[in-house]
Amino acid sequence: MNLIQQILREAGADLDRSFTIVPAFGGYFKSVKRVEDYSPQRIVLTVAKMRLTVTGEKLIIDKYFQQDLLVRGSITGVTVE
Amino acid sequence: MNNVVIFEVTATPEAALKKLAKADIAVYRLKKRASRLSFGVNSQYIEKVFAIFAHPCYNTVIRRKSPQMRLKSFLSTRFCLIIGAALFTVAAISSGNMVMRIKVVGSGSYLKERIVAVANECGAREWSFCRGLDAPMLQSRVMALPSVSFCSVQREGAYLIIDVRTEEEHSAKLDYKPLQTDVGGEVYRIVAICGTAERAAGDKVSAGDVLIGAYELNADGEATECAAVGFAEISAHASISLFYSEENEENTQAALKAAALYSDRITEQSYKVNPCDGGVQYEVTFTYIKTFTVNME
Repeated sequence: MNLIQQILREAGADLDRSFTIVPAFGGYFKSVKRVEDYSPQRIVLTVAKMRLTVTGEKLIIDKYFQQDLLVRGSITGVTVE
Repeated sequence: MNNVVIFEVTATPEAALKKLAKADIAVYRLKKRASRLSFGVNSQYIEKVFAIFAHPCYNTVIRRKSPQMRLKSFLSTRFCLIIGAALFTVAAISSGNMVMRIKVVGSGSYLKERIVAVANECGAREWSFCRGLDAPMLQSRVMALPSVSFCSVQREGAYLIIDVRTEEEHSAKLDYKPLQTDVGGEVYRIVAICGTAERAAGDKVSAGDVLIGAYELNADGEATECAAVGFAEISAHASISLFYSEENEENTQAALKAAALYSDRITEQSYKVNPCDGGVQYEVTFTYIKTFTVNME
């Protein structure tokens, strides 16, 4: 996680409201207030005042702690509302 | 991550994650399994998770314990088995140093008591560890015993084998001398198993003549040295004189018996009685068979 944070910081990303997707691996989401919905094909997250919908296959929540969330599986799309 | 316990509850992911996040518990590997939800938490939060999902409707179970918990459970349920295995291992390791029996083999086995006493002094005792066994010392001390000509010490499992040979075994050496006769006469029978017969049945021989030579002849007539093995019977003549007061049947039998003392294989015998001063002289003449052998023991 520290490496990802370092990369994002150096790339000028907003670390408090950011997410990273790694194809065929999963994604890392920060500032996740709530997990609204979960199924192996769809995860709905509340990040700050946004609503993220993560779609894909064989999705699992690999780690969720202190608003950091790591999703494992094949992510095919992320929708921000 | 190694100390993660996997729980399974009947709850929605949203509700479960909300409760666990509120309790500040990190959640790992959250998956849906039909109507059930499985997730992992650090083993230190087991009691907390059971408290969060205390209501019977959650039907909370531990699906997989952490490696440490599994090890602890494994050891506690198989305590006797582990103790037994440990004892077996200790026994197996220590058996290599243990001597259960000292065996003395070979022709010197009749010296067993003395050899075992020497072995005890050199650090080998039955039913005991013999880490300090000084095998060369044991060997040299056994060799120092009278008539011992060979000794070897070796371990075979829990046995200490001491192989001892005595000189008697080696004294029966081959005699490479030819077979000679020490009487003159006629060859009655001759058998040469090894070597070459220099005389045949019916030949006249004198004392000192070679009967079987310690050599063999090859096809070219060349002599090759070998040990002579065989025997020969020589028919020899001899006579004895005995004095008696008078000639009678009793004295005649006594004279003939005296000849029998000379050889137990008398083939012919005759006697003459000559008068002499104060009695008679019995002169018994007889033919006897004398056997000579070489390397037939």
